[in-house]
Amino acid sequence: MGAYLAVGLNFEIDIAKNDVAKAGWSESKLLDELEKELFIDASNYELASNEDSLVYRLRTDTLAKLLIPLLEKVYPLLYPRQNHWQRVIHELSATPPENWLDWAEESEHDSFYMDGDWDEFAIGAHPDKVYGSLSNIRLMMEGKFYMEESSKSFHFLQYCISNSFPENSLCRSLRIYILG
Amino acid sequence: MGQYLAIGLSTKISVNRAELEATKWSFEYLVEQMSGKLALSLDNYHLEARPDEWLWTLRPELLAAELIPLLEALYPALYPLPDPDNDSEAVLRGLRERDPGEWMEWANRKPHYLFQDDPYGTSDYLRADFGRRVGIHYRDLALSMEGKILMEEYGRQFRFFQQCLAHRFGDFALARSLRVYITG
Repeated sequence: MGAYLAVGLNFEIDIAKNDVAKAGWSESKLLDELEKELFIDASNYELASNEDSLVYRLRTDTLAKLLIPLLEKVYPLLYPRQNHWQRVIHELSATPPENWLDWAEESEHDSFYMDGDWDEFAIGAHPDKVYGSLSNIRLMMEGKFYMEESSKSFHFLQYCISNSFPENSLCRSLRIYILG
Repeated sequence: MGQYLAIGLSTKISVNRAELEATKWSFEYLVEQMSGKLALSLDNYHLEARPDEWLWTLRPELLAAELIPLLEALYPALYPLPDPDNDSEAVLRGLRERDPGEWMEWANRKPHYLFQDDPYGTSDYLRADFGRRVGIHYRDLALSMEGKILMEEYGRQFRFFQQCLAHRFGDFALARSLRVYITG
């Protein structure tokens, strides 16, 4: 039991549809706010569902083009030894990109593991805040972790992580979050 | 009481010589481990061989040239919203009013929350054979603190964060001396 600090890759953003309507936001305004607050590149996402909630998911063609090059940059910074991640790269290379998320769900690798929607957020101003959750693929976790107040530090670290590899726009989907 | 998550600049890095000798490591191998495993940019420091320790001190000319421009870029990212703790303008004004040679003495007096000498940051440890280890000890210029924090293990992630900071502020050699650490 306990919480952990995780570094992961966001692949899905789930947003309360009622909140967006209440705030009177257009889709374009919503995407602008997501880019500003989460540092993502919204053009890497597509609307996957518009029923109970708005679900934006990473485009398969973006993942296919940018995921492995990003992981090859990020893993060596996260792990001192290649054996923590080399099999992940090998197995991703051998799997069609459209199956990567399914593979993450069944993954036995700590360095590429579907975490689900632990990571929650709120954007906009009170009283019309828009709430949502982020589903991430965990790339690493450490802990146990407990922190009473972390918003400023995490926001700054998130900003730096998202801007570390400007040549790869998928970098902007990297997340730090608390798990558990 | 308690510990805090801090972001700062490492102004001094030290290694106890007796501890190093007990490992049978050469000094060159130590430097290789510090640069590799801990991703420290020792080029930013002036090395001094003291009787009891190896001491790396941040080069004064680098600090004089880059501290203000780095903080001008970094503080707005740390404090993007109005915040009562944000006294960054006062820090920058205080630095501009002083000779660079006086900056560290000023930090020692802890003039501002966002600019204070911090001798309490956690150390790193390099493992050697037979359970021996070499402690890498830091003295930092704390630029941000938030907490309280309790974390059992954090080395790899914090190192990742530090390297992301160095990438983001890559226009400054001084950014390679930024550290994410626990203090208090």
